[in-house]
Formats: sequence, structure tokens, C-alpha cells
Amino acid sequence: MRTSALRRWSIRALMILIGIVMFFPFAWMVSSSFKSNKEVLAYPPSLIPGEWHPENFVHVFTDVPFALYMLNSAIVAVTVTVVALILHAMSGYALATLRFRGREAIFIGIIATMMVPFYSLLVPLLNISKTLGWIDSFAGLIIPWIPHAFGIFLMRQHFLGFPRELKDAAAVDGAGTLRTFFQVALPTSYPMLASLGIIYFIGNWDRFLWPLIITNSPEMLTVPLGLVQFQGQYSTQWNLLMAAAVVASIPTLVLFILLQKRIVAGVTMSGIKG
Amino acid sequence: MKSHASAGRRRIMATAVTAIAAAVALVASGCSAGPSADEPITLTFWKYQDPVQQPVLEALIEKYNSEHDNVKVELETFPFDQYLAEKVTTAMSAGTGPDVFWVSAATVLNFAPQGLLTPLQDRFTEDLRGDFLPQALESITFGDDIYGIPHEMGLQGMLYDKGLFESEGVEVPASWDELKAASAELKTANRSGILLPTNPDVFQNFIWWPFLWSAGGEVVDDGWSKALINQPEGVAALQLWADLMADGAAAPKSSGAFGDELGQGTVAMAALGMWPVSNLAANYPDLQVGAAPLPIPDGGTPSAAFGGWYTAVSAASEHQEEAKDFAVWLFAEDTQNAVDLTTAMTTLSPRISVTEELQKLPAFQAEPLAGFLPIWQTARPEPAYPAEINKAVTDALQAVMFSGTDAQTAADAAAAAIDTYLASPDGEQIRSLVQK
Amino acid sequence: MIASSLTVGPSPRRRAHRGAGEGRAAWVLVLPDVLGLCLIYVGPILFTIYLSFFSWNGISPQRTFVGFDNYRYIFSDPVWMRSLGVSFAYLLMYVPLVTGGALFLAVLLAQKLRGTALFRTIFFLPMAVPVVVAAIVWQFIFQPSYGFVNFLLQSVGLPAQPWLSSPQQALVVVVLVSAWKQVGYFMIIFLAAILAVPKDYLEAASLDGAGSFRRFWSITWPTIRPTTAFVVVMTSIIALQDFDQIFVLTKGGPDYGTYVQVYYIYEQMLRYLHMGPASAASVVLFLIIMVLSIAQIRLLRGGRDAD
Repeated sequence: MRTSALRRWSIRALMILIGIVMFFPFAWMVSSSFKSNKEVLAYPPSLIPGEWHPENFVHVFTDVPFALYMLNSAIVAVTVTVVALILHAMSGYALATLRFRGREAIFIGIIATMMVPFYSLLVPLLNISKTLGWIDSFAGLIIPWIPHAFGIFLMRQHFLGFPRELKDAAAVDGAGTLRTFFQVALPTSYPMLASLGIIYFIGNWDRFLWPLIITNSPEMLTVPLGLVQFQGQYSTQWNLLMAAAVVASIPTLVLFILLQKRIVAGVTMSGIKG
Repeated sequence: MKSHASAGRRRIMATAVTAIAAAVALVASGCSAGPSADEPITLTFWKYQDPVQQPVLEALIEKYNSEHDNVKVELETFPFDQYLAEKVTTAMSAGTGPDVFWVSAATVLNFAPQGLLTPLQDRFTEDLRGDFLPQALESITFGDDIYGIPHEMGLQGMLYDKGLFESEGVEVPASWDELKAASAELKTANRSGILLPTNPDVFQNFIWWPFLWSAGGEVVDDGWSKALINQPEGVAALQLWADLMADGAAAPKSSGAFGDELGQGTVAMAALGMWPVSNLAANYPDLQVGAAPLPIPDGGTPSAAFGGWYTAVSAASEHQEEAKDFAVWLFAEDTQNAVDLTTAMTTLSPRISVTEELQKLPAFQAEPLAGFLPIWQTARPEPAYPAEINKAVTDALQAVMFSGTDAQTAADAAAAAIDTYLASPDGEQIRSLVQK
Repeated sequence: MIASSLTVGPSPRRRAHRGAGEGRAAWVLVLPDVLGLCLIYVGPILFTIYLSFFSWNGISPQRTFVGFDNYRYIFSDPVWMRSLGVSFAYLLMYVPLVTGGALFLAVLLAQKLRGTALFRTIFFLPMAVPVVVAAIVWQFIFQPSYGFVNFLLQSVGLPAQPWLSSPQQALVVVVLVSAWKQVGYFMIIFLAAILAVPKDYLEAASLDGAGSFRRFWSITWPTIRPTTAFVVVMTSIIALQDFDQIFVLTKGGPDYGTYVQVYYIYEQMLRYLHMGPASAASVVLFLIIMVLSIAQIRLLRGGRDAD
């Protein structure tokens, strides 16, 4: 019992220490978002603002159409995430549990697509986008990011742990492959899908380079491009930049808080026993 | 849609023909987006994002659009760090580039030799040419071809914390030795003596040029046939920056071109120029900013570079004449346009008539900006070097500042890289372009 | 023994019976992604390989065929060599740090002590901070003259460090910043995997007298092996392609200290307008990552017979 308490407290201490490191920049961001520009840069720095400027947050939405940027980013991130989750669960399941000719080669081919830096793909992808009429459009922002090896790879690894027993049990019940997937395999994957969903949402919410390349007009900007507007060539409004960053991080935080129960729910795989 | 009623009132025939033609065109085009004869041409004008310049340019464009029915200019802006490399270059590569855009001296050689910019000299009247400082068009003129129109002149100088210098009883340095001494003296645990750019990019080169020039050094010879940077003058200029870093007098890492460190009190001086002055005034009202000429070596000549962007026309634009019209209208005609912009930016202009107006502004009557006026006529434009040469210089600076490389060694390495480049086909192409 | 019952694949008797139907269903499931990947990635990758044999400035129409010249050029370019070294150093620091860190944090969170939900959110926070902002804040923290880290060091008597103005230390800092931001992604993946280990197995082992470490080592660790393999491979792929925070923090400097392979590609392509060497360097990087990933997948799969 004594060791258990010691263990519990040492774990807590570790978590607090690590938590400070993880949390500190975020705290700095929030703190700066309430300061005047001058105070953000003041030395020595202070965590608590001397004067509070909550109007910074108003400026974020009035100086630039930040609400529009958030809407654009939301449309892109949600669409990509929802479609990608479904498609990658399908592919991952097939690659992990089904036997078909060329499976190994296709898997290698799929993860090979992650092995080229994005800069190398920029120019040809832009050309393809132009041909397909995707310039300055939501299609151009969304479609290129739906097929992505990361999610396929992750779901495959996840489904590698999918018990054969469940699959066999479904077969005995007369379910075909597709039904097994949709009715048996998919429901047991919600924690992993929730994890992947958050990752994809953040990835697309935070995407900077591709939206920069594919969009031109001010109405199509996404959140990261909106953030950088607070940085000029000769001066930066640090406090507004931080306030905008705080606003930008809220949707991902909310999403995480909502989804984390799913992630930690664990999985009850009925039918394994015996 | 514009009605042609005014034309038709006089000639009924013309009205009928036009009406029939318009009806046919409308039916034929349906909802298609292609511009018909009456729709205005859209010109895209690209530049980097800057909150100070944005309202001025939007106003100018609105004015242009209202005065020109056949043209609609759209301003599209992009983050500064990615503007030329990621955005303009890739867009041109895919054929989705702009009609008119801003280009810098450091990058003009990425575009001009490949024929990607439209020469503009046919729009430069004698009067207009005479209105520019002789050296202002140097960097974007090759032979007879003028590839851009400059509007601003960010002059370099030494900015310093006047209050600090007075309270510490330190004289503003005029020579390199004095600079080293003053930096060392004003250096404390939390404050560096002088701010020099630390990131390896063209801005670092830009700030270093006057140190090279005041020592009498050059990067290449006039004919662009060999590197001169490893001559004693170049080595001395490298050595200065190396010394300032080595004894900790120079700030080990600077966050950019804004000079915020001056306001924060973490540096005593900054090798910058006039462009951060308004930012400093806005954010640090307690700071007394002083401006002084950049220190020179014994026996050297005072030197300052000026930077700025140029309005250029893309050779790929489908509306060459309209694009040229707009580019010229912006800053090569009515001086008020340039006055509006440079007033907002508190920089000077390479156009004489514009600077005459600017000089009357209160901002330029007082220190520190008044201190830049005497040097504006003799300042040297940021040179247009190809990326390889700029990189060689940056490499040398980085090596002496951060790896403790000996200045002569670093300069020799730079010279070798430059000579290799000059001997290559690319170098040959640039040489013939520059010598036109 | 327990782990083996989690292997997949139908038993030999069933395999022949179901083969054909499975094959077709498999293709239906896989096709949308494969088609998408072909359009978005395969096309451009093939184009990059093609370009690596040409000299082109990326904009003008003329391209000259130069055979292997671009490859010869980069292999004899000391800057490219340097970038290779920097990338590998980055890899060797980043992968253990993020994989180990993510696993460690996930294990901590899986303990489900009181207050875990709060810490879960705190550990997740770096993911929610935009990269640019994270870089700015960390740059501030690591400022040599007035940053928090040196302040801490000096208050315990240690000397201040140059951090981002030392070519060597700058690499450590950019790795740390990237690891800080990305460990959360892999933490939740590990967490989902750990919590998916069937509780019955753990309870049974506990009843048998196995302590928590033994339970982790004998049950959890083998069960999450596919996930571990995934994390190692992914962090390696990411490590060799990381760019954003380097661009903001050091621009590849000081003196090439953080000049990774992608930076070389970026500058060749967009600074010098040398599409040929940029493409060649992309191909080489692609091959390096490919070889490394396949080796890792094979090694980490170990003796399992799956796929």
C-alpha cells in the first residue's frame, strides 16, 4: 500500500513537471493575448499582464475577417476529416485483414507516397489543380488532402490487431466481407478513429503552405494564413497575433475535449472470451 | 453592364447592330465566365502583406478602377516570408501568376534574365527619368531594359538608444574601432552592444553591404568576371562582424528587421535604417531613438545602401498594355500616389519630386528621420546579385559569425564559389545581361 | 501465446474458400484511396523523378535533358553532404525522443489516476498551438541573452548557452520544438492502443501475481507492437521531412547547423530556380526514407506471420 501511494505521487510529480513544459508556451500565448504590443516584448517578461486588454480579441475579428477564415478552415478540416476517416478505415481494414493479390505492393506504394517532401510535389500538384479548375476553390483546398497514407497506415496497424475470432464469428453469422467491415470492425475502431480524426482535423486546420499556394483571393484564406496577416514586413502586432492564435486553438481544444472520452473509452470486444 | 445608349442615340443603325450583337453574345455565353467585350479586364496585382501599406494601396486601386472602366485591378497579398519564393515562383510555374507584382533587387535576377518581366522603358519619358536619382534605376536596368518602377527608399543607418548613450556617457561611434569599443562598453549581462542580423538570408547581406563598401571593398569586379570579396577590404569587413560576435558585443540572435530589441532595452545600437523608426515610435514611446551614419573604417568612405521594392509587369500576363498602364500609373505618374504610400511607411523615395514633398512632413523635420536626409542622394541601391552570389556572401558571414571561421578563409571560400558561378553558363548569362 | 491469438488472417481451410470474394471486396474498399493517391501523389512523384534528369528553371518552357548530371552535382555539393548529415542527426534525436516520450506519456495517462483528464488535455495542448506561434514562443524562451532557459541555468550556477546561435545547439532546439508540438499526436495513438488491450488479459495476469511493469512488458507491449512500429516509422518519416519550425527559427542556419535535406531542396527549387538538382535531391531523399521505412517495418514486425 505504501509503494502504491509513493508510486501514485511520483507519477503525479512527473506529470506536473512534464505538464509545465507542455503548458508553458500555451500559457505564454494566452498571457500575451491580453497585453499591449509593447508589454509583450517587455523585458523582463511577466506571465501576468500589467494592464489587461481584452479588446485585442475584438481586434482579431475586426482588423481582419477572422470569422470568415475560421469558417473556411472549418469547412475544409471537417470535410477532409470525415471523408478521410471513412476511406482510410476501409483501406486499412482491407490491407490488414483481407488477402488479395498485390496487397504487399500496394501497401508499400501507399506509404511510399509519404516519403517525398511536400515541396517536391508543389509545382506538379499546382499544375494538376489548375487543369482541374481547383485554383482558389474549396475543391482545391479539400480534395488533395483526403487521400493520405498516414491514416491508411494507422488504420492498417490498428486492424492488424483485429481478432480473427470476431471476423470468423461474423462469417459464421453469414456476413460478407463488406458487412463484416461496416458492422463489426468499424464499431470497434471508434477510439482509434477518434484519435485519427483529431489528428486530421488539426492537420487540416493548421495547414499553411498548400492553402497559400492554391488560393489567391482574400475571401478564401484559412486560419494560418489569417494569423500571419498580423505580421508585417516592418512590424508585428504580437499581441494581436497571440490573441488570434488563442482563438485559432479553441476549436481544436473543444474537439479534443469532446472526443477524448472516445479515445480513452477502450474497446469491449465481445466474443473474444472462450 | 455598361449601356451603349450614348453611342446609339446618334446612330440608330449602330444601336440596332450593337443590340443584336449583345443579345447573341448573351445567349451564346450563357453563364460562362469569359469576359466579353464589355466586361472589364481583370488584372491581378500581387505583393507581400503589410498592414501599413494595405489601406493606401486599396485606396489607390479603388481610384484606378473607378477611373478606368475597362480594367479591374485586384490586389492580392501574401505572407512576406513566402511571397516571392513559394507564391510568385510556383504560380508563374503553373501559369497562374500575377499580371503586376512587386519584386525586390535581391530576386529580380530570378526573373529578368529568363524573360519573365516586361521591359518598361518605353513608358519612361525624359522627364520621368530625370525625376529619379541616377542610381535608383541601376539595379533593375540591364542595357536599355528597365524592369521595374521603384517607389521607396529605405535608407540604412545606425539606430541607437539616445537616452542610454547619454546616461552612460558614451559617444556615438563614427569609426569601426569606436564601434567595437562602444559596443563592448555598453554590453551587460542582459544587453548586447549592437544588433546585427543573424538569419542566413539576403537581409543579412543587405545590412553588411555598407560595411564592405565603406572599406572600399566589392563583391565582384565591374565586368563581373571575378570575385573581389576576398581582397583585404572584404576580409576586413567580415572581420569586423566576426569581432563583434566573438566578444559578445553583438546580439547572438535577432528576431528580425524591426529593431524591437532597441525598445526592449536588450541592445544599445542596431545596424538598421529608417524603416523601423515608426514601429519603434508607436510601440516604445519612452525610447529616444537616435540615428547616425554607419561607422566607417579609418580612411574609409561613408556608405549606406537603400532597399526597396519595384513594381514589375509579368511577361506572361495576357493583358500587357493594361498591365503596363497600371504599373506606370501607380508610381511613375502622379507623384501623390508615391507620396501617400511612402508617408504611411515613413521612408523616402528615389523620385526627387516625391522626396521633396516628404521632406516637408513633420516626421522628417525631427530626429531621427531628419538625420537620413543628408545621405539620401548619395546612397547606393541594394545591388541585384544572383542567388548564388548572395548565398556565397551569406555563407561567409555565417561562418565567421557562428563557427569562428577565420575571415580570410571564409572570404576565400566565398570567392571560390563566386568564381565557379561566374564561369558557369548561368554566370555567363548574367554577365552578358549586366554588361548590356 | 495470448498475443498469437490476436493474429489475423483466416485459417488455411477457410482461405481458399473465401479468397475470391475477399479479393473483390478488398478492392472495393481500397480503390477510392488508391485512386486519390495516384492523382495527388503518384503523378507528381513520377514527374519529379522525370525532372531529375533535366535542367529547368521551373518557369520557362525549355527543359534540357542532362542525364545523371543533377545527381553528380548534388553528390559533389558539400552543402548537400552537410544537409545529409544534419538530417540524420535530426532523425537520431527526434525518433527516440518522440516515440519514447509519447509512449511514456501514454503509459502515465493510462494509469487513470485522479486528475488524468486534466493532464490529458494539458499534454494535448501543444498540438493546438499553431506552428508559427509555437516557434515564436520557443525562440523567445531560448533567447541567449534574455530567455527563460538561460535564466534558469544561470540561477543554478550553470553558464548561459548560445542555443539558437550555435550551429550544434540550434539543431537540438529545433528538434525539441518539433518534438514538443508533435508528441501529442503519437501520445493519443499510443493511449488508444494501450487502452484497447483487452482488460481480461491484464486482469488474469494480475491475478497470477504479475506486477504492473511485468504486465506492461508481457502483455501490453507485445499487443501494441503494430502501433509502436507505426510510430517509429512515422516519426522517422516526419523527422526526415520536418521544415516549418526550422524555417521560422533559424532559416537553416546558423552556418548550416539546421540545414536539413528539405531545406536544400527548398533552396535549390525556390531560391536558385534549379529544378533539376532539387528533383534529384527529392528522389534521393525519397529512396533514403523508403529504405529506412522498409527496414524498420521488417525489423519491428519480428517473427509475426501476419501479412
